[in-house]
Amino acid sequence: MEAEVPASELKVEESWIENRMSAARKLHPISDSTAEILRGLLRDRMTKRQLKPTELTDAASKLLASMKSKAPSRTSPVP
Amino acid sequence: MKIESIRLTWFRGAAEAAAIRPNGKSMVVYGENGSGKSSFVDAVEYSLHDGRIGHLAHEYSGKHQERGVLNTHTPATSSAEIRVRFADTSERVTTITRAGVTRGSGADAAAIQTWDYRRTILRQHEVVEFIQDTKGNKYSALLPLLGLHHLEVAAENLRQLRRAAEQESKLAAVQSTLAGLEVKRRDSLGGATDGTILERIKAVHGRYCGTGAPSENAAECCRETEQALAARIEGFTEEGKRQLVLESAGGLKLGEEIRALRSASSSLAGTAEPLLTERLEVLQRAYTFVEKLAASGEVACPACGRMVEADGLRSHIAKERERLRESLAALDALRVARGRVCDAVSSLKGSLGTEEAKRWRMELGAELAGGFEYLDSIDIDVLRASCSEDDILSIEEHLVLLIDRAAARKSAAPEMRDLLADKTTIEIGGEILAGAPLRDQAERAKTFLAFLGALENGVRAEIRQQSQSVIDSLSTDIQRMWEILHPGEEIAEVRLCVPEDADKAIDVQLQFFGVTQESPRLTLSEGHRNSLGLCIFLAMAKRDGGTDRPLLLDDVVISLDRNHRGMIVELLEKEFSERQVILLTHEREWYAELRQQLDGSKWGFTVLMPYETPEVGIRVSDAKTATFDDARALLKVSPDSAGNTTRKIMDIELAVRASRLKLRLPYLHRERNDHRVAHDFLAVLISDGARCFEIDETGKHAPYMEAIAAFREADRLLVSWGNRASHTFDITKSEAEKLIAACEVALGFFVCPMCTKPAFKADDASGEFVQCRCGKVRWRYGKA
Repeated sequence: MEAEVPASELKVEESWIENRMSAARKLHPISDSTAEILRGLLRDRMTKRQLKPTELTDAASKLLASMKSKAPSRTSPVP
Repeated sequence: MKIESIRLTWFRGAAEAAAIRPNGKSMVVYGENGSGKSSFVDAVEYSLHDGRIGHLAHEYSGKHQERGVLNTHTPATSSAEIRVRFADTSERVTTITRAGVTRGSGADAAAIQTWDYRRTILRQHEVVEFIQDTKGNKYSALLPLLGLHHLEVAAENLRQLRRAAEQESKLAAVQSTLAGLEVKRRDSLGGATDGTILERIKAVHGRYCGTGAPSENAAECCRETEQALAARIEGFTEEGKRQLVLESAGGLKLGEEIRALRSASSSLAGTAEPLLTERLEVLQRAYTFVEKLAASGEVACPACGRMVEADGLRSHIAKERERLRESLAALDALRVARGRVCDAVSSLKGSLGTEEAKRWRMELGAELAGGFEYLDSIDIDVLRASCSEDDILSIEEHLVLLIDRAAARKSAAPEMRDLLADKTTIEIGGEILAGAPLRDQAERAKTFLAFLGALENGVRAEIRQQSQSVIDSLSTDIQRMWEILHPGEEIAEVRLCVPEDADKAIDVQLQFFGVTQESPRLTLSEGHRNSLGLCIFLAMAKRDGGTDRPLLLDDVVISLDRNHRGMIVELLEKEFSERQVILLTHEREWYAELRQQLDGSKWGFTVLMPYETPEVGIRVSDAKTATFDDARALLKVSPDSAGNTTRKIMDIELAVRASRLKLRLPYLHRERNDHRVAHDFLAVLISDGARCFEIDETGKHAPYMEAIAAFREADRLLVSWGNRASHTFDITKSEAEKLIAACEVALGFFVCPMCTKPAFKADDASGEFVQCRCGKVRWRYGKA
């Protein structure tokens, strides 16, 4: 099951992160751990400034590695 | 942060000291051209931008704009200074040295530097900038108001993250490897599935490994079978082993692989060559492309040279990318074909390098010595890394012949051919099954990259959605303001919109007599465009900064006619009643009207005297209402000009008073009816004054005869000297002085000596009179 943060705990300005991530996961399932890492990156850094190339490479590496954990199955057919 | 005062010393037109003091209220500043009004606007901009003024950014102003910022006659020992004091008593002081170096102080007031210039100051030449700008620049101007910077940053970071992930995953290389394995699956194993291949491997294992269930682990199963096969081959005779080697070498389809490689290379050349040729031109066009993109709506595409709309370039580039994808697919096929050639060469080297093949090589002797020498010299790793056309030619020349000879020599027994086939099954089958983790890796990478792409698209959709909400809100404000300025006109539904075919772009649409116009530049007059530009600025300023930041409007109504200018007051009172607005104008008539129309409790009025010399600098008049300073300034140089100016002042001031008093003027023929002069108004004031103009000096209202006498005197002098000043230029300085004095006195009678308010400030309780605040001076509406 996706580890989604309840809407009541979100700030209004962060709700778009959950909404858009949720929509993208329905099309392309990624693992919960990958989602969690990316969610953290979006909240902490990726909305505040452009990341440096080294930061991007490091994040990409961690995210790809986390994809090895089991991804939830699609709950609806891919259009 | 409402402005209390702005004080200038040796800054722009100011000399020792010049100040305007809004005291937290809104203000109208009147001054003829060159009197120094804009110096105060420049001062705010200078403070806001920490030492720069936009219209002074040119080659003549100096490195720090010191040649334009400082008064030309600044004493050698003096610096320039700007003091902006705010209603909360904080003050921002900026000192400018003669070299243009600035030093700011006043930490509490440093917030002024967070103000957005484009939402704070509007100058005459900037009024239509937004309308005339490109769609992209309009979007950029709006961007701070959208409050979507965090989303834009996130979208760009996601895009860059996707690129980094693509590189980290080495997806292209993995896919190329997998494509090679699929070709082997198709060619060598008949396209069998992984399950079928495993069954075949187990079957081969059973044939050569005897009893014992084969391992479910394919790699383990292959290893055991390879060991068993090696042991079986070891039991062959020398001749048998040689036959096996030749059978293996002769079965290689190196010639076919080379032909396939050439075909893939040709296919790539067919798609890539034109693209590469065009791409070479991009470097030359890139520079001109960037410059032209800002200047006009059409630019030459850097890829193909066609003239395209800058905003439509995105879709054009998408098509170019599609072409590039076809080339990339051809490039992938070339890589696979090259890999297969290298595999065949590697296999040949392995086969003909064995001890078993050495006797056959010796038999061939010098005939194919060159080929064997070439084969022995090949470094397979180097070949895989860089397989050039020369390498292919050499391979074709030396090695295909070797294979043909091996094929001709081979005469292996059927059981040896079966063994070879089983060996191939184990080698290739094992390789394919070992590639399963690569498939999983590629699938995960593709899913993750697709997810990032979908997320980036989602964020951009979020930007569009939130932008639209703000744009709709701004459009509502613009429409409302436009309707105030242009009530009942057939130019309507003015709004900002996002073009369908462009991202990060904004345009302005409207309805012109029921026809949709995609741009105000198509049909609107200059006056209407300026009016629209003003509405857009005010709508954006209203959204930014709440009620706390002032607005400075410097001569922004020049191109508006009198009717539309008159609506500005209503607009400001309805939309900016809580905001501090500083209006600067050189239009005396409008200043006179504003003095009458604006609420004196919320608005202050300041007059700047005509500019004399830089040493004297900007001078603020003591007069708050009608001023004859302009006329007096001309006495010395040109008495007839002073007289003429006096006549013009009276034309304007009396017109305003006549309107407020609702004077009934006799009809005049044709144009004269619309262009009344001072004499027309004074004639009525004199004739009706005895019955209508009253003052209470004894507890009871009585005719204001002193005022009427003053009107008579002013009228007499205007007729005799004012007209001479205008028509024959024949008036002396003392005559002009008397004329000015008489007119000043006459106008002064409209102000109550007790409450100092105009006699037409408000209606009395009956509605029959208009009077000053205290009621001492009043005028009966119409004729008694």
